[in-house]
Formats: sequence, C-alpha cells, structure tokens
Amino acid sequence: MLRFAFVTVPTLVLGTLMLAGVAINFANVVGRYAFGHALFWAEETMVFIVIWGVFIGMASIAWRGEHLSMDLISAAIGGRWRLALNAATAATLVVCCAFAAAQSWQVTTLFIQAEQVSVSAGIPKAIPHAALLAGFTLTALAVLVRIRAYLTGRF
Amino acid sequence: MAWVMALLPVLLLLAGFPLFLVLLATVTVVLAFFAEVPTTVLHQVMFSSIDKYALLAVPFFIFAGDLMGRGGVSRRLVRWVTSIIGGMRGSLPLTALGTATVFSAISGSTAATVAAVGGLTYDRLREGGYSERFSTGLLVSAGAIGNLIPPSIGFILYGIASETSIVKLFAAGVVPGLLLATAFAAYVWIAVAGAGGGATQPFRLREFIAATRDGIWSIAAPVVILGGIYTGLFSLTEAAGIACVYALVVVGLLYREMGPREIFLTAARSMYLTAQIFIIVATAGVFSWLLTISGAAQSAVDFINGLGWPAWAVLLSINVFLLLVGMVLDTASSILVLTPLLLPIAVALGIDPVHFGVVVVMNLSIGTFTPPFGINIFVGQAVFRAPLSGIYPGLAPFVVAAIAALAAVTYVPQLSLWIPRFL
Repeated sequence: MLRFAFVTVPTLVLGTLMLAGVAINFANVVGRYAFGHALFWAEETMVFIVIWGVFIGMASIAWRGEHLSMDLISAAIGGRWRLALNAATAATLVVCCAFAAAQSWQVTTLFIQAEQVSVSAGIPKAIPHAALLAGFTLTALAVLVRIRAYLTGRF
Repeated sequence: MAWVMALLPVLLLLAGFPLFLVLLATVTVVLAFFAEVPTTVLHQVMFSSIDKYALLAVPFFIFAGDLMGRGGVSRRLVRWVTSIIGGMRGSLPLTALGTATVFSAISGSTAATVAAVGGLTYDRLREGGYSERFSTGLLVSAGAIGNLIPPSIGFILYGIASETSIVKLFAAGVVPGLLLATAFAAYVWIAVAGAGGGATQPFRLREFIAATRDGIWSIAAPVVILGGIYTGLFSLTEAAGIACVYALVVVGLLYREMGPREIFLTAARSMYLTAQIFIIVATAGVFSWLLTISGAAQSAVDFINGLGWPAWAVLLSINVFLLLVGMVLDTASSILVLTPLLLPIAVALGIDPVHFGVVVVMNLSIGTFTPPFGINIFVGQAVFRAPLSGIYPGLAPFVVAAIAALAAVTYVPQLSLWIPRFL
C-alpha cells in the first residue's frame, strides 16, 4: 500500500506531468505559428507542472533512497559508525524537511488568505506553492516510514 | 555565519549526506540561528529558484535525450559514423567518439551520452581487441563532450545562475566541445598505433548512402533542435519541447522501437531525474542567496584583488579549484553554488562571462571522468559492469588530453567567443 503511494502513484503522476508539459509547449508553438495565437497561460502552467513534478518526485526519491550523494568516503565506514552516520542522515532529513514544511505552510496559507492568482494563467498562487509543502511533508513521512532502510542503508 | 556556510557543507558532504540535504541543512542552520531574515525566505527563495521558464528546457532535453537513446537513434548514429570513418586506423574507438559527439548535439547530459553511446559500442570495442582499460577510459571520458556541445544542461544552469545569454553560451561551447573531441581523437590515434587497432570497414558509397537513409531522422535531430533556436523560430524552452515531440515521432511512429507504455515510463523517469537535479537547484538557490547577502562574493573579490596576482594566475587557480570540485561534486550543484562566488572575481579581472561560463563548464565536465569520484565513472561502472580498478588507469591519458584542451580554451578566449560574435 505504502509502496503504491510512494512509487506507483508518483510514476503515474510524473509521466503524466511530463507529457502534459510537452503537449502544452507544442500546442503553444503550433498556436503561435499556425493560428497566430500563443497560449498566454502556457508558460506559467508549464513551470507549475514542473514544480509539482519536482516535489512529488522528491518524496519518491526519498522513499527509494536515491537522492544524489557523494558517498565514496562514507561507504568505507562500517559497523556502529555506519549506523550512527545513517541515523544522523535520517534525523537531519526529517528535521530539515519538517522545518521547511513549516515555512511552506506559512507562505501557502498566506497566499490562500490573500486569494492571489498568477499573472497570466490566473491560477491561485497557493497551488504551486503548496507543492513545496506537500514535497517536504511527504519526504519526512517517507523517511520515517522507511527508517529501517535508512538505518541499514539497504533500500 | 560565514564559517558555518564554509565548514558545515564540507563536513556533511564527507559524511555522505545527500547533496540537497547538505545544502538544506546548512541553510536551515544559518536561517534558524545566524541570519537576521525571516525564516520563510527558505520557502520563497527555493520556489523562485525553480520558478523560471528557462529551466523548463532541462526536463525537456532530458526526456528527448532519453527517448532517442533508447529508441534506436544512437544505434543508427553508430552505423552512420562507421560508414564514414570505418576505413580509418582505430575506426572502432573513433566511431565511438564521433557518435558521442553527434549524440551530444541531441542530449544535454554527460551521463546520458555515456549510457547511450557506451552501451552500444563497448562490446564492439572489446570484440575488436581493445582492452577493458582503454575502452572504458574512452567511453567514460567521451561523455564530457555532452556538456559542451549544445544543448547542454550545464550551460542552461550557468546561464540562469549568472544571468548570461544561454543561446550565446550554447554557441560558445561548440568549438571547445569539438576541441575536446579532437584532443581525445588525437590520443586514440596515437594509442591505436601501438595497439595495432585497424580499420573495420573501408569507405563504400553504397553503405554510406544506406546508413544515411536509415539514420536520416537521427542525423537530422541536431539540426531540428539547434536550427530552431538559432534561426530565432523558437525560444530555448520551446526548442527543447519540440525536440521531445520530434523524438516521440521518430522513435514511436517512424522507427516503432518504443510503445506507449515505454514512452510513458521514459517520461516518468525523465521527470524523476529532473526532480533529483531541481531539488538541488532549489536548495542551492537559497545557499547562493545567503552567500550573496552575507557579502561573501564581494569578500572573495577583495581577497583576490588583494593578492595582486595577474589574471592568468587567478584563472589557473580557479581551474585547479574547479577541477578538484568537479571530481567530488556533480556539475549542477557545483555550477549553482560556485557561480555567484567566482563570476564576480572573473568579471573584476575583465573576463567575459560567456568565456568564463565555458571555462567553468569544461572544468566541471573534466571532473565528471576524473578519478576517484567523477560521476560518469560510476555510470560507466554500471553500464559496462567493469570494476573501478579496471576503469581508473584508462582514464589518465584522457584527463591529460582534456586538460591540454582546457588550457587552450582558458587562455585563448577567441575559441569560445568567436561564434557568439555572429549572434
């Protein structure tokens, strides 16, 4: 169930977002050259699509333990030190993501209260900003759920 | 604050923390305990770092490159290049190098070039009698060309970090990219003379025409991608999106080598790779912002000016520094974190930001295949299933050849600035 939530669903969402982005971009170019009308909302919408893709992907990456890292030196460490290092990584990840999520919560709720919308597409600004809130919250959750994998280093 | 931003990332990096966490933890500590700014800037600067239209070119180029790499484009490019240079001494390694150079004009990623071209040519090289050391050294190094020949993700990120024209950076990378390929080819030429690597097939017009006909859509891809940008038809991001549509049509409809499911999974994988890079872009944005408001960039300029070194010596120091950084850090993080710090130094010395961008990206590209930590070494290890002990020795001559090319690019700015002058 959790794997479905953190791997299968993100795969479906990420693939859909990428193809939607390509389609909007292509429609914008065709619209401009073939019909003399560019899609005024296209650029903002594509940026927001990618922002959501990044933060949904972030949680999925955390679930699989595939964030880019330079681990050659730390890989040489074994035993209890390894365990301590892995625990420190997981704890830092959870604390930092919780801190970032708290900041995102403040900003997102401000946008909801102010009812601000984006300049071109008229999309409520809270929607793209909420991607960070979702990404950091889900990442912290993914680390907590997979704490055993984070401690052992085996995903 | 300055010492936290200098020491903490190094400590966390050595401890093996994920790169984005190294940056996020540092900025969290600085914002929570040192900087006198609202902590919500963490969210605001992260968001604004990726809320950029030009950045959309990155996921689109990754997707287009991945589609073409998996959908039969690289195989047809190998056949086409072989039909041209198959009669030369050392034709197998030169074909691999030539294909990597052409593939670089489709893909913006060094790792994608190593995986796509290396995966196709490694076995042929080994069957042709070339040692594991030589073959892996060649193919892992050849990926670096992908960062210089446009489209290049490295140039997109440098352009955004430095507010320099990405189109000019793309144009500036062409000659240095070809120079790097030539330096590699020169070493291959010398090496195969000793190893006795011969020709694989003499040039035949009929085979050349057949290979061109079979691969015409692959060969035309760079023209479609770059032609649209330089004729002014498309913006960079639009060209990247058009490259995706072109790749979808070629591999899905013309070659029929990928079905809807494979295309969808490739799209998902490309967005996943984008997430891996962009989360670093977002956190590096906050790190760079804090560096700027802390006055670290200006302090660095004052420090370098205080040394009274000539420009060539400063450039040499920056080159050595970047080569070392490139050996341990990935190109994207290095560009985003270091550009705000190094560019003011370069500008103060009268160095053109476009030329400096080429020097930065070329340095970090060499780092991608420099032992012990160059990221493409590990891509090669996975693709070729070769031990690191077998890969490392073969890389040394290519690193030397690349550094020679880098020296020329660093001290002869015209190599980078000649083509952009016509834009």
